Amino acid sequence: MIGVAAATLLVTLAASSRSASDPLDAYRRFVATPAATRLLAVARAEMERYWSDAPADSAAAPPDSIADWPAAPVAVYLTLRDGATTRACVGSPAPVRASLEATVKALAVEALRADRRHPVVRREELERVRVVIAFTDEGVLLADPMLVDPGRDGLLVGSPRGHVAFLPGEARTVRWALSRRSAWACSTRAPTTRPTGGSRS
Amino acid sequence: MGVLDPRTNDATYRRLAVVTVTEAERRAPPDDDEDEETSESHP
Repeated sequence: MIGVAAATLLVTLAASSRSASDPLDAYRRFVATPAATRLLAVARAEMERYWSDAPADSAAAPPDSIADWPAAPVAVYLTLRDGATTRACVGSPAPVRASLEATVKALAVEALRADRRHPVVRREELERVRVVIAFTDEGVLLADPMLVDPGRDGLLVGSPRGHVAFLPGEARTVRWALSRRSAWACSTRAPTTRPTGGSRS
Repeated sequence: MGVLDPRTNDATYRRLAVVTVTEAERRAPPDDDEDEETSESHP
């Protein structure tokens, strides 16, 4: 088993603008705390537990308690990155569990087996993939997806058939992303009722 | 869980603000006692 040194936790904050009422402000603070590091460890422990016979409560996560939702629950996506490649990505526009930790645990297991665009993740792959947890706001409705800067903003594409989310950096251009259909997007759960407006400027 | 063809005429588009936390790079243990630390970047 390859040893792992957690040398540097890279926290990337990607947002185009911020305001006092920005629902992600608390999450920006959260990702700079040890609790966010532990949340990543919880995700990894849950994935390792998936292949073991250990009961759910025995996942080898750090013992410190985790602060739950830093603010009102938001959309959460969990990505497994293999180098520059998205190995798997799942998420939901709405929280899938009551607590942040439970949401991340559920997404961690889904990432292994439920991203239909990729083969299931093999146990040995866990050694080299990196876990990325993304929090997003409800978004601002756009008439033209080309208005999105794919290097900085996320893009949620919805239709009666479902939703896909492109997270920052996953697509070089929106046109390229759409031409690739959902190949680089996060698999999402069924659409939820969402307001049609947006206050972010 | 649904995957759609985003070229459909009834597609809607939302620009999302995103905050991410990324696991440290997976690599062999270094020689020193370097431990986890947190850094931020603002692209």
